[in-house]
Amino acid sequence: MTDAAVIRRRTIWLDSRWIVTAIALTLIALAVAMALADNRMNLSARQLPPLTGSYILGSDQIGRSLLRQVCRASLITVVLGGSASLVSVCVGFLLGLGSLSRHRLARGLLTVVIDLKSGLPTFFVALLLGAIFGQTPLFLFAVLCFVGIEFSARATKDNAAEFVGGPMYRALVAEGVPRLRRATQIILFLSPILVPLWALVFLEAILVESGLSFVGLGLRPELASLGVLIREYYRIVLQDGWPMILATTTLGAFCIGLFHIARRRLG
Amino acid sequence: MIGSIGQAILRILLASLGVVTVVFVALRIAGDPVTIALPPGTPLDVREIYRKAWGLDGTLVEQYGHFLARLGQGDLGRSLAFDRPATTVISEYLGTTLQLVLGAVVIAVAYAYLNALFFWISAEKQRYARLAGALGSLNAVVFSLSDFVLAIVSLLLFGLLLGVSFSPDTGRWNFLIGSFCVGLPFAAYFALISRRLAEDHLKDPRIRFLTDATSTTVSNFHFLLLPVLLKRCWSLLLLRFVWLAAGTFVVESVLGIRGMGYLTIRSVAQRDLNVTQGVVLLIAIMSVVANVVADTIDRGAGGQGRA
Repeated sequence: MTDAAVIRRRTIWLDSRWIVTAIALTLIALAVAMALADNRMNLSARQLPPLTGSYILGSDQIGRSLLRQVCRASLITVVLGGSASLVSVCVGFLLGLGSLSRHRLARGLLTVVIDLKSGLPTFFVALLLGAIFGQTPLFLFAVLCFVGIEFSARATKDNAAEFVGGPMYRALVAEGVPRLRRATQIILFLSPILVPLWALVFLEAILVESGLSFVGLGLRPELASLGVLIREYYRIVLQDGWPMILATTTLGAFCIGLFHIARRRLG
Repeated sequence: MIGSIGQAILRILLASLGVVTVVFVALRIAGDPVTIALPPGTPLDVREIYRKAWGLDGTLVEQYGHFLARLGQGDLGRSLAFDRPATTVISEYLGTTLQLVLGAVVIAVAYAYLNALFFWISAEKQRYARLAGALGSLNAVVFSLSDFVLAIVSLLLFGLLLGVSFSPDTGRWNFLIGSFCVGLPFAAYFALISRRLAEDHLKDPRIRFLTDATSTTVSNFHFLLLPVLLKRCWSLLLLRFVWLAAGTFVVESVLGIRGMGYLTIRSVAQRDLNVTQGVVLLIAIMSVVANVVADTIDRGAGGQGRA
């Protein structure tokens, strides 16, 4: 292929990428608008099939638009899971950096914290926090914050240890570069793993939230996330399977998308 | 060696004590267990009888001391819902969950083994490259979906389309399908690792010399890659076994399997403090032990350890 052809191909690719981004952003804006729109029950429009009037994806057992329900549930799931996973990654990142400390006591303490965390799987943390806070969004947020701490701490620690043991860091130490600047260099070195790390923790948070809501330990029906929606539609699955297929597909699409982001970044 | 074993035992004891304390404090912060467990309007004297019977009549420190002493003897108290020793109740349900997880691990290992074998062969033979790529993508999708989504998809597929019954009493396929749902994400993860190992292994000049001379055959796989795979993955297997046992709540709920997850959700709903406490402690201590053992062995094998 000639240079001109390569440049032309790259230009088209860049253009198409902008178009895809614009379409995606428009769809997200539409989905948010749908999620925030009023979606009251309408008993005269129960269990309508897709493409019936304004019910593009049909309606559920009490006549609510399935599209709006799924958009609203997705928004709740994404906001809750996204914010909690962000907190989780930040705390894990700091813990991972702290575990590189030269102080034996600090290192030992962090090992005990990580051991404790690994001894309390997420669902058990949910049980404990549920017993303390009750089933509130705050409780669920606290549980989800707990989800990726250990994973983020370990990933940070392993990657930072690789940098600290490498020639670049040794050169910085030999040159007598101050500690703060060396720490900045470590953080800069670790920055590429933050997005995939966040994507993986986000994925885990979404699944934990959905699982907890499904078994009745998560959000209440007033604040219907995807897990609550699946639980609600699970009860009527024998009469009408379509709402559950839709909710499960949405959850699956989020999972695959987030995993794809992490996989592409990590290679 | 003795030093690292001693250190591992100390870590297990410290972390177990930590977990026991966290669980004890957390379940007491939630409120007075007697008030929570007994129905509203229970007379005060009846409450006091129960408080004494459950060892909740002293100060928190005294209660903690009694709790540790009883725990040392393997006594978790009586289940409030079943009116039997909590250890007996837990052991009955634990069997179902362990069978489910054991089935899942067998499925995972068999699937990962076949995957690794296929990737090993396809790394040399270009005609399988597309198939290997598709299998890799399928593994990534299955891994990202987790057991929860897979259980619902199975329910929709088998229950709605094929009319399979998932009733806890009459369903016959719950257990097998449950094992697949729990095992497949782990199998996919295991397969992704084995693929990476196969690729890395083939880049090794010493292995390249051997494989160039003899080609990538099944016997080469067993001779060259399988020992590496087993060495790298056994600690992962140990950790995952406990994590799978701890994570069957949702699959058991979706597919109507009466295991430990079902028991936990039920005991939380019925405020059965002793059973909840017992299940949490059992899984927590199993996790701590598995984590520390795997970590110590990894360090011994020259790795950096996980903690």
